[in-house]
Amino acid sequence: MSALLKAVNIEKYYGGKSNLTKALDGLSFEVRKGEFVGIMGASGSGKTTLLNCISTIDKATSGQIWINGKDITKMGRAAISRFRRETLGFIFQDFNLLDTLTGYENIALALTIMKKPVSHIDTRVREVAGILGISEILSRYPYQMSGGQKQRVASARAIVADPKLVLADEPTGALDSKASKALLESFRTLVSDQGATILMVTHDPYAASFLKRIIFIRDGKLFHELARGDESRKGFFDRIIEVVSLLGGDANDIS
Amino acid sequence: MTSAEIALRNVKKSASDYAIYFLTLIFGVCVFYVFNALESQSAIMRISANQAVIFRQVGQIMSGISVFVSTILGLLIVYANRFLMRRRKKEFGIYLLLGMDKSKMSFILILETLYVGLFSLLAGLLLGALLSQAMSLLTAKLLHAEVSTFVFVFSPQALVKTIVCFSLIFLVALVFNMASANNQTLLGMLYANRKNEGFKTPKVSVSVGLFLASLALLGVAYWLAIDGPSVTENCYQIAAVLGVAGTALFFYSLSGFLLKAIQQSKKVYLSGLNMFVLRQINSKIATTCASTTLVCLTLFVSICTLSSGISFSTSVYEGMKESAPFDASHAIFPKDDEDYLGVDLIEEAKANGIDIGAFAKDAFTLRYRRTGVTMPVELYSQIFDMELLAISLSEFNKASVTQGLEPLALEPGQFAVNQTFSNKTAIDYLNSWLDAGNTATVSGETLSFKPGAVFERMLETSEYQANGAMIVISDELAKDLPSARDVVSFIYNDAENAQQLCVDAFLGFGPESANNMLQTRIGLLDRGDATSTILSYLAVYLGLIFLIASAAILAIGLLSETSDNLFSYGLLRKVGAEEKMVNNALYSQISIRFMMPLGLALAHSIAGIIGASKLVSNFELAGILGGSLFTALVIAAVFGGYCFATCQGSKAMLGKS
Repeated sequence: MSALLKAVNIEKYYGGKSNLTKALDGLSFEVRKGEFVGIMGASGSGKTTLLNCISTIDKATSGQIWINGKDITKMGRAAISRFRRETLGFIFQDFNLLDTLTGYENIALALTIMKKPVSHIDTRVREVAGILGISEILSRYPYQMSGGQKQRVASARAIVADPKLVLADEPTGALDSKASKALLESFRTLVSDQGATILMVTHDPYAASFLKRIIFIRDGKLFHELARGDESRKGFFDRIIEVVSLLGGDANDIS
Repeated sequence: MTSAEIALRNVKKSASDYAIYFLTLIFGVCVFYVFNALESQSAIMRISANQAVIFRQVGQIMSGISVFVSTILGLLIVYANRFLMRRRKKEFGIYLLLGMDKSKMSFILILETLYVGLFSLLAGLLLGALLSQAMSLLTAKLLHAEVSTFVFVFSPQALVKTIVCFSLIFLVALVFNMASANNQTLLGMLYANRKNEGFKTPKVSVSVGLFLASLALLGVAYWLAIDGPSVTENCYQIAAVLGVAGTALFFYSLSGFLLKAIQQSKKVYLSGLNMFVLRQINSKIATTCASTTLVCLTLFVSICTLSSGISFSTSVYEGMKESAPFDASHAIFPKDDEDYLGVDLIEEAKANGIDIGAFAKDAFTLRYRRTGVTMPVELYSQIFDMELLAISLSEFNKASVTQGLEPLALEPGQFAVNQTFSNKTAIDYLNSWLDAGNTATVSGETLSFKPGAVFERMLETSEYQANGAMIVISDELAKDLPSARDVVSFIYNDAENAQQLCVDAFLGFGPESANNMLQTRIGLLDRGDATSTILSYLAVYLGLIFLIASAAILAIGLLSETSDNLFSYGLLRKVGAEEKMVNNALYSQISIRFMMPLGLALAHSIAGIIGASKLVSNFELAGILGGSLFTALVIAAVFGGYCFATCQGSKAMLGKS
């Protein structure tokens, strides 16, 4: 399968000459179409910076990021808005739903912004809601929903416009374990049945155990990569724990 | 960095937040200066002694009203400050967290208020001084005075008054600012940006019902205001109560109704950010309904005072001109408890050695005679029996022809009617009474009405001749009727001091046993100018202040809403809406919120003006319409300015976040 997302030697520097911080320091990796990939790292490792660069919210200092065959580091402002709208879908830790809109309207928003025809909007919203099991709560406002329901509405909004790549930033961060599991199961369904590609940032090994492949970063560099292969979730979880325990620094760093 | 630098930097940095504040201050200072500088504008005009008195009166009244206006502006500025302080709580929290003294923070606040105050005072005064020049031309027009030499007039008194008043206002605002900054806990300041979720709105179906109810209420109120007098006596009070209730209900339910209506067309609703805009407006309805209603009613008052303020000048002046067909009239009428036998004023004057020919080329008398005949008249929705006074045909014709009107001819046994009612319903009532074929019996002879012979003529120069009706009968019949009032009127000759001679000769002239009153056209017109000028200025002054107040309250409310909703707008961007689309959503939200109260206030005003037009005469109506045009321009300028500033301020907030 071809690479949907290809990051080549990305660097992101903050500050000036005297106090240079390298948030991303020559990071390269690929995500193929139809993959469910995770990014893990300790606080300050550069996870969020990386996600911001990929999602075009921030600009990398150097390097190229190819998404769906286009180098997003070379796009103009107008093109970026359009690109973000048509190619990417976002899921955030704190749901980021508009409290004045109903569930249905929150999902439809992603399509109305793209000026899709009404008939398409209605069928597509109901279809996606069906997949994520939220058909019953479409007429509710966010404050009438549980955390898990809100996150599934947010997920529906992220995928309703059929994006090439869904970026999820700690989507289970505000959910209890039951809601987390249900959400991650539905992500897996989206990948296997709908052919979605999801890139998820998390620091929760349990959530990560649902992934197919995990990229670990430390100090802005690629630290390790794990692929689940045919392993059981339990075995994969143990391997993740091993790597995570090294992320903050290993015994050699302690002097 | 010194406190002064921090303060200056803060003001520059939050210039967009301050825009509405500046605008309100500048408008306020400008209007305040212009109206307090009125007194000094006599410099450019050629005015009479009478008019000089008017100028002094205007000055005194404006000073008095300015105390009230300062209070309104003070409240407005404190309100605007509260919004600014709320926006900056976190900033002050950080100062404190970094170890700044509360006293130093207060000092920075004082300096900021000082900078903002100085800047807006300067700008407002500059604008005021310019506008004041235009105002003096208007004053000249209102007073029918000639502009002698046009010089730039600057009023030091008004300057001092403005500076003192606004310094006081700033001081009050400062006290409130410091109190609100000092009362905060550090924790509260740092987490000031946390917003509370959840909102209350009426159910959409309830909204639709309430909306229809509000329309019904407003409909009844309008009907009462327009056609009320024929329905019930207290029509205007009832209309006012229904109008206020209807207005509140209208704003409470309008957004819900709009939401429902637009949702019917999925094509419109599910397009771009339309549903976001509608939902956003709808979610605010419970919290903004009261303030929107207040703004709408204030605006209504403002539109009415502005448009009628301008028309006062025309109507009072025209009214006075109509009341003064001759250069002067001198009247003799009985004191309450004395018998009155009547005086031939021309003979009486000759007997007293007065030379009428010295100032008048024409002089003629008019006698109002008692008939004992009564006739029902309708005034203020009540029917009175009024004794009809009679005038002889020849005297009526003399007074008519002298002012260039057609003489009247009467067949024997006929009478005509001359009325001076200002009230249309009274005139209609009179006409129907006449058309019903009612007769009048004078000295035993029964007279019938000459068809169509109803006149509306002023027969003397007098301020007090409105609201009456009299009959015109043949000289023969009139001859022996007792006198109720005698009048002599003059047409001046070419003598330069004719007015003075006339006043010298006739002021206070007449028998001891009766009252006398001399009224001249010049005196009447000056008095009319005084009344109308003072009323116009008062109305325009207060109208402008109310207009600024309502626009500012609306603008500040909207700005603080935008700052509460920055998260939502940021989210729209994240989901992929283009900057332009988000800005448009913001603009349409703000414009709709500005248009809602303005639109309804305009509707109220139209109903009000139609209602008023039934009560006033045509020339007054023309004045009100002319005034409305002026009002529309002023409102467009002030509301447009505030709407624009709010859009820009909100956009700047989005840009920052």
